[in-house]
This record gives sequence, structure tokens and C-alpha cells, in this order.
Amino acid sequence: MKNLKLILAMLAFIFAIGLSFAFMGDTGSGAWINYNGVPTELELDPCQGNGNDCKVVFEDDPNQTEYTVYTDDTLSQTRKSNNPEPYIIP
Amino acid sequence: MKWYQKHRETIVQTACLLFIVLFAYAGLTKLLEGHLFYDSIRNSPILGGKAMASLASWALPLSELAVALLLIWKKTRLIGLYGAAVLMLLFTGYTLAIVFFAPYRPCSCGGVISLLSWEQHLVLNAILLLLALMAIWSSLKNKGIPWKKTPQGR
Repeated sequence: MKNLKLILAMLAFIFAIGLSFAFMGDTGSGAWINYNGVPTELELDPCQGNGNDCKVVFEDDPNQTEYTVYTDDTLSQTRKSNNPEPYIIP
Repeated sequence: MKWYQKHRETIVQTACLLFIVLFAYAGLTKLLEGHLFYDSIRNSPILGGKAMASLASWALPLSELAVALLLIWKKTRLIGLYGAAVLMLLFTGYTLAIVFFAPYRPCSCGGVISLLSWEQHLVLNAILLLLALMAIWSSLKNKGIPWKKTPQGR
């Protein structure tokens, strides 16, 4: 086959496209905050490791309020993080 | 050595296919979940900052996709390999800085690679960098271009 190498390379590209769609995250982050009295799940998990209380701030919040992150919507158990600073969420 | 010389073109082709899958996947993932990638860079202990995050969230995935496309065609393959080597050098430098100099380890979230620890990530990046350099060297050999420029007397 004359163009086998080109076809193989294009197939590899198409495979990568399929792979990226297959691994798109659709499960919950497992990170909850008390946002204005409402348990709210974050889109991503900002807590990695242990050592410090895991907290987040919203970048566009003029008050830069720090929200403690919890494991679930009962807001009973806090998450830990190795980052001493609050995670900035755009 | 004879085996290597015989299969040099196959090795280069295989390396190119690997890089096509790697960079196309990485670039598309970063574009499809751009806000997550922006978050990661924004909160990076090494880079951080709004400006760097804004720049990287567009420049990096587009560069990766460009390199993947360049590697598809034989005429542009060598340029693509140079691009792959530069990107791998950047990624290796970043993971090196995270592992040895960062005050804390951030989340390495995203697709298949998130299953690796930062140390494993560093080893993988170093191996891929060596692979890119080897593919460049083999490509230049195939074309008959000397690896080093030798001074020519006049």
C-alpha cells in the first residue's frame, strides 16, 4: 500500500481524538463547599495530600471569602491539602 | 547495530506515531477541558499567575496539536520532531521543578496521565525527551545530514 504510513499516522490522530473524548471527566469531584448556605459541589478537586485544611477562594469575589472544602454534601468532614494557600477558582 | 540501521526508518515512524497519539490526546484534552487546565496553571506553585495561565491555556494545547499534525506528513516530520523535543524539554523541566523545588505538590489532574505520580511523570517525560532526540538523530541520519556541522576548508 503506497500511502500506508500516512494512513497509519492519520489513524493514530483519530485514535487520540477518541481517547480524549473517552477520558473526559463526567464524575463528581468529591469536593463540597458551603456556598451561601447551600452545599455546592465544585467542578474540580482542589485538595491534594494532607497537612492543611483545604480551602478555596473565588477569583472574582471582591471579599476573597475562603470556603472550607468538605467530602460530601453533609458538610461534616473537612478535606485536607498539602497546599497552605487557598485554591483559586476562576 | 546492523539491526538498528536496517530498521531505523521503522523506529522513527513508531516514535512519530507515539508522539502523534500523545500530543493530539494531550492537546485536545486541554482544549476540551480548558477551564480545568487554566485552574491547574493558575494554582501552580512554580508558574502560577493569571497572565501565565491565560497564555498557557491556549498556547500549549495549540502547540501540541500543531506538532501532532506536523508529524503526520513525511515532509514536515523533522520539524514536528524538533517541536516534540522542545515541548518534552519544557514538560520535563516543569515536572523537575515540581518534584525538586515546589513547596507543595499540586494536582496533576487530567485523563490517563493523572494516574501517575509526579515522580513517575518526570521519568516518563525524560524517556519521551530521549526518544524525541533519538528520532531526530535517526531522521537526520536517514537524510544523510550530519548530526554535527563539520568545518569545511576553503
